[in-house]
Amino acid sequence: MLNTLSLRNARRSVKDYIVYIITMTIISSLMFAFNGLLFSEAVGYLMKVMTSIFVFIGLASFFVILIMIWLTKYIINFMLERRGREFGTYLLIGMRKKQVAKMFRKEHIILGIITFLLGIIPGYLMHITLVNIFFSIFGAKYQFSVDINIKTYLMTLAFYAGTYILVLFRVNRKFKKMEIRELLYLENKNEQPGDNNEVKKKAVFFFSLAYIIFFHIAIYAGFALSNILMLYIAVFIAAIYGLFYGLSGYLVSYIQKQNRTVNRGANLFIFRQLASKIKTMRVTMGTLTILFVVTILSWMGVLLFSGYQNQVLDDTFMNIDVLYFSDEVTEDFGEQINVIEKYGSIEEDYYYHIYKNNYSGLNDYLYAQLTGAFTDTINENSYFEDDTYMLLSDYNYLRKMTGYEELSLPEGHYLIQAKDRLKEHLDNYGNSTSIEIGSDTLTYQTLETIPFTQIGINGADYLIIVPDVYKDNLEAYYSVLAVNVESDLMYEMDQELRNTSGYFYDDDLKDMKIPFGVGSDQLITVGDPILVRESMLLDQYGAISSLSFTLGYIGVVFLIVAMSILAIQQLSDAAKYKYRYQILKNLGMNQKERNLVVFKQLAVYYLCPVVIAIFTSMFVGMMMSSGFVLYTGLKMFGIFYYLVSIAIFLGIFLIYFAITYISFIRTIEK
Amino acid sequence: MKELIKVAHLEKYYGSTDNTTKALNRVSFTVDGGEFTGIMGTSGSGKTTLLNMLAMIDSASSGHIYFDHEDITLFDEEKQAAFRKENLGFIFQDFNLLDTLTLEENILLALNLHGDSNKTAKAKAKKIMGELGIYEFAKRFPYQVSGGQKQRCACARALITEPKLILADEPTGALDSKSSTMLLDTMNAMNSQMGATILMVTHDAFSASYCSRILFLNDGEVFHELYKGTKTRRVFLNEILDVLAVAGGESDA
Repeated sequence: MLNTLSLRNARRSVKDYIVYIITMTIISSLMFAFNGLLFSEAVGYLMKVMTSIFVFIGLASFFVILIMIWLTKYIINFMLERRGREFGTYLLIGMRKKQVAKMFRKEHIILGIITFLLGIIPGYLMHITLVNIFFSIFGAKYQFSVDINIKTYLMTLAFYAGTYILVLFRVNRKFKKMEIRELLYLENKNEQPGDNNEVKKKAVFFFSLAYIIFFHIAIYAGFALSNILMLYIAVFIAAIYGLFYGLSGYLVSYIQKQNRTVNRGANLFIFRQLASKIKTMRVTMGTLTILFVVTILSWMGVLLFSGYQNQVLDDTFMNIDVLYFSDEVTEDFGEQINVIEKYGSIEEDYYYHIYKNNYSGLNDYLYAQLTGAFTDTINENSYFEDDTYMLLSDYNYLRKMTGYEELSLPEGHYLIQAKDRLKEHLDNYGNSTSIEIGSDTLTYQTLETIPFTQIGINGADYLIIVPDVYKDNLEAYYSVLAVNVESDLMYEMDQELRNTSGYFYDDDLKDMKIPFGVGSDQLITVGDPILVRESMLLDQYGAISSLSFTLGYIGVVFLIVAMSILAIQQLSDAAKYKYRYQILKNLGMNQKERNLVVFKQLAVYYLCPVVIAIFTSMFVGMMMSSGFVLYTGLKMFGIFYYLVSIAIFLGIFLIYFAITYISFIRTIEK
Repeated sequence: MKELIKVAHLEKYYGSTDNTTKALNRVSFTVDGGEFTGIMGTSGSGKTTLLNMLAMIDSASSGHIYFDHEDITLFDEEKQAAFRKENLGFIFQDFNLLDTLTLEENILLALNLHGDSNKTAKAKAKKIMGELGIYEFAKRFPYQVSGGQKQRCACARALITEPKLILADEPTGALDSKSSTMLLDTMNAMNSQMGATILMVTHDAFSASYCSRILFLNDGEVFHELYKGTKTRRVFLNEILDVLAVAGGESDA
């Protein structure tokens, strides 16, 4: 009988808490889809190395499980509160508290199993979609195959089981503390009056607001010390909670002043509802705000990374299959050619020197101008020790190899080939600086910004191109081998070139005769003396896509959890509101007016955390995206990515809002 | 008849040190086995508090309650639960039926908790539902039947385990007059034919007139007691109304 009861109760809960069930089903589908990537043969074949995706999805799963625990805990507490009379009845007819707790646990396990199973098919479809997206990112053709691995299901099951064990672990204790009398009369209880210290609340409100503003200024102006950044963030989170704590007091005193806005129409009704809700829900509201902030920022991250993938990677790397840096100027690359030939057939090869002029004027200029440039390590800096030069003939050969027209450059002139994002700085330098080579003075002619792999191989960030006549007055600095090769084994070729290079120790650069320059890119840096284009892009795409997918995943889960909490709160209160709206009806309010009051009530309630989330994420978001754009060379303004992220967020938000509004009206008018 | 309950100097205070409400003030009385006792009083007179303490839903501030000469105010939580299961049945104003179970299952659950086998439980449930006139609704859920039927199901649930005492808190409060009468007749039959001891809290004089004895509470104290004896229900009702008129109680009769 107790099992029947658990089962029936679970069935009722599915009906009463449909939003929770849908949310958990979406989460389980997402889990299936993302965990599936880890064990997918197709993705494994595509990515070769799965480390990045393992790390990122592992990280995302951690947050997703945390939020699942929070949501389920919230629902359990919510149910315990709402079903007091029912639990009281169980106890009255002679059940022991342990029995009631066991039954309640069973009910939740049933709900868990339902949402787990419901998630399997949509999860699989979502998984196929994700794999497809992966393939399109990598430019590979996806051949559909049944891609089911039992490990995916076991892992998702383990996540689910872990969540429920953690949540249900303490249910016994909750029941132990319950008193029958309280349970039976819970419904008659009014909202507890909070502490009425309005002065304290106002102080907390202002302090929180002031801190949030200070936090933004500190981050924006860059005086937030990085070693105590976590402390800044911790206080920031506390301030968000403080804001809601203070806001409740603020609202009460605002209402008590009874000014004109409060007394207009049904505003008093709305304000009072909100004040009492915020008071009992301020912690939840604070958490929802934080979830919204994380969602907005994660999606901005997704946009930035995919923008980077689409724009920057192609603009950075020249279209040559293999580029090999050698710190020896006498290198003939025979060994490397042998390795490359082992894995494919060489179509074209060319080797050349990068030169130096024993002068570092341009490097010094860039170190002074660019915040991203660094010069504090032994093996690796932003720039080489001397400015880097290339002869016009080499430059033109490489241009030809990559499908660009050759250029002419008269004697007495130089041009700069640089990364697009630095064109302003380098143009300024060229326009104001002449170069001395031996006894000759060269003046600046123009700036070129074709993709040229200027991350250490063809110079770091830039090359000064000079006519070949100055070769004798320049000193060969290092050598580069450029090869176009037809091969299906690029990844294996890359591995062997690396293993035989002697440059690496545990993936770190070491033992180079000259300190390597990697350029001033920040956030995503590829400073590598060996570049097998396909293998490197695979690495980059793999890491960036994994990161974007992870951020997207976290964003979606956080948003739906937050929205479902808001919806559940409002809809399960609808029965109570039904009575209140009936009174408004009896007082003479027509349907249209009542709907407007409902709209205002829900809007204010929903907007509260959203407005605060937008306010608190605005500066951090814009600063982050501007920084990203600055350091990676994205072409859009930073604010663009923030605004798109907000737009997507608000789009989904509005859908949830509309559903809640319609359901709410239906319930109160039923 | 044998004394079943003895309430001795029972007191109950609510609130904090600076704002105390005395809900019960040195209440003492006894109830014999097989008695149908009513407790009446105005709102806030302490009648529900008294019932809750007899049900061990609430604890006493001081004083004792003896049930079959055993002091139940000294029981720990486990013992209370076992005691309730073995000895008490409950009927509430708003029925407190479990909405996910059918009427029959609501009754069966109480028996199952008692350890009855499924077969005996079903037979017992069938019998009592027949007696209370709800057998035809056995497979229906509470939301599919009327208030009167719900309350008769609650009676069946309270009675089925053959408890020594049935506690009823305003059982007719949510019923129309026809259902109320039907329920009170049922309770009367439970008392007279099945020998159930019933303690009923009510503020309705008509309901109270079905009792064999009434305790009147005012401000937490027993201020009057009425016995029906051999009087007709009509005469008894008038006596009740007279007492209520003095005490300022409500009368819905």
